[in-house]
Amino acid sequence: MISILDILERAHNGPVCKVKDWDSKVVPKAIAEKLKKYGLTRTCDPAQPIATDDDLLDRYFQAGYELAHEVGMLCQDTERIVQVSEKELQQSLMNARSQITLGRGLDQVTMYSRRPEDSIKPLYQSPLAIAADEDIWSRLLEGIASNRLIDVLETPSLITAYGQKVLANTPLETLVGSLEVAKRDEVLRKVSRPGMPTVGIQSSTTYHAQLGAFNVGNTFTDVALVLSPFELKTSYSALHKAVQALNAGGLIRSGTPSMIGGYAGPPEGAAVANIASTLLQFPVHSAAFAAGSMMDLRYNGNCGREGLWALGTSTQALARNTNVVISKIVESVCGPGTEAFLYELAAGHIVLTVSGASASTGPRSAGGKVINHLTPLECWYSAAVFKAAAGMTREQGNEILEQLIPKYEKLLPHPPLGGSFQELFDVEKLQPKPEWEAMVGNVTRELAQMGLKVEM
Amino acid sequence: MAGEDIIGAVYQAVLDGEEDAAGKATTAAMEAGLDPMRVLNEGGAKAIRLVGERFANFEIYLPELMLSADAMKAMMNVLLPVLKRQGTPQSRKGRILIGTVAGDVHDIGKNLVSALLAANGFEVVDVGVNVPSNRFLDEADKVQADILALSALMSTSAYYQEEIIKYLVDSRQREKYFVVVGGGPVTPEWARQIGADGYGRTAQDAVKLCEELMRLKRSQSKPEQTLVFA
Repeated sequence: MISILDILERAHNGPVCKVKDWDSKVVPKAIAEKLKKYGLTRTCDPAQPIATDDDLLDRYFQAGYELAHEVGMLCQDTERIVQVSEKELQQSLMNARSQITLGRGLDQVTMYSRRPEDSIKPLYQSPLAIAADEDIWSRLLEGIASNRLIDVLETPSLITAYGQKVLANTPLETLVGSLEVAKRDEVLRKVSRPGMPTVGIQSSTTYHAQLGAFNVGNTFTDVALVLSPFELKTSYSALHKAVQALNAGGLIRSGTPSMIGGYAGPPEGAAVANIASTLLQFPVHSAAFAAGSMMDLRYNGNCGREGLWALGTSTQALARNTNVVISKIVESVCGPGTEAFLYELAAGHIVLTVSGASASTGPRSAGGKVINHLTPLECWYSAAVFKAAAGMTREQGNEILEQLIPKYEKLLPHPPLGGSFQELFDVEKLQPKPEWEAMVGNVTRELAQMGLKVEM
Repeated sequence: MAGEDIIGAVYQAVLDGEEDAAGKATTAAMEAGLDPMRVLNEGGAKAIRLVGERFANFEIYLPELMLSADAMKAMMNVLLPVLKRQGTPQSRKGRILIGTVAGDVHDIGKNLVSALLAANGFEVVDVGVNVPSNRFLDEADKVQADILALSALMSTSAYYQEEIIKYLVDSRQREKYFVVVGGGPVTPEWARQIGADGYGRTAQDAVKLCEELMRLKRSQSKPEQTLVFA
């Protein structure tokens, strides 16, 4: 069984490869070979965003599996390749959990490995780390956590700590970690969900905040978030987090994203890369469950037809061929207070549920670009849609997507960014303002007419 | 080899993203006494335009674009000294120092902008990721950059874009460079707030922005407010 020490040794002594060569030559060449070998070239069908050909999905899995153990991951700090043998990969996948129980007491939840079209309801982790002002952060989180559709609590990202800007790689990141955990735990007590499972640390993507706050002192965070850059890469920052989480008795959710049009090339290449990177999270980052997003370089999201197809294809391929727990993200780009955002979220979450994702983190309100553009209502709505699609067939999913996607796809390159928490919510009463609430109600009724009954 | 064939080899090397072949073919062209401007226009520039079009149409992807941009650089490294000796005005549009700011290891957006700028005739010096502010400024001084292009993918690292501009202001060097910003959390409002000269939402926008800034520089002018290409 491969250990984190083996990984650290390989990150230090593995075969040398320049990052630029990895990005522009090694990974693209290996992916192109797999696409050719398994007959995957031009198999993306934008008219059918949820693939239904099981043989094709299994060939995608084989391609991604081979890519994982033949190529490995590059540690970008040392420019050394962390190689994982096929046997080590197999062992890691066999040892990976097929269900994970998180949280304590009445707030405890279990995340299951799912299959495509599975009737088991997936879990919703919310919100994504959208940047928020310190003075409204707790109120916003309170609104999100108060709804039991949200199973696992993440947090918005604090942009200041005690009024000071949080600069990456400075002690302010260490400080913001402890501030985030303290404020979060206070919110959990306030909404009477003290045992609600949590994922941290969100206010800093470097390792500093996690080293400063993950299960330090009397605090407890269930899951550590370990992320690394495109494509099939790791870093000492990610490995720092993994080691610290293991030391502190936390579970690890880790992921490396893939990008259509980026180093992985076409949608088919991005799907293969995403499968490989998801598999490698288990041996390389000691993941309890794997994340690993999908993006489209053209609009920095994944709710266009090719983005949904690649997201669903990689998820289905993994769900059909492994028993691991998979968490994915709907990378929406529109903002709260717009119908396009609600259609985008619905399309993405239908794809994920039907494809067999165990969990999703979101919503990515306004593409994560605008401070305070996040409200509790889209968190509740996303969770409800995500769970409502459980048990739906892929054909039914495609029928609904065919109605949803034309409603927003032309907006993706220049998405409407919507409004802020303060503009769309009564911050005092913690209730959505009538116009925003009515908009969600209307879209929910539209979804019901399409065949998806969403209960909020 | 005839002149046409040598220029064809330069064209093909840039099109295929073959860095070594581009350098060798360009050297052969110079040894054969060909006009460097002809090699540039009918060889590399023609090829890189096609590469840019193919990328815009998603017929090729970022790796091919990066490799062609490198091949173009290899060609220019041979041509530039010759053009300088001949006293021919250099065709490069401007010199851009690009990198991802401190605390941020994301490279894909920066690499895309870097490759597209190079493909569009800019001289690009890429200083990589997680670049401390003082190193950015040292390198800018060393290469005599026209434009500093600062990429950030995290709200916590975007603050370093502000820090670099503030340092330039405080050290009375703000007039030395145009500073442009971009990246995931970066918005036009942020660019205006920190006093950047420009913001580009996409890589294509960044190219247009840099072209406009260099046009202003040539006319010894500067933007009255932050230019936004979105």
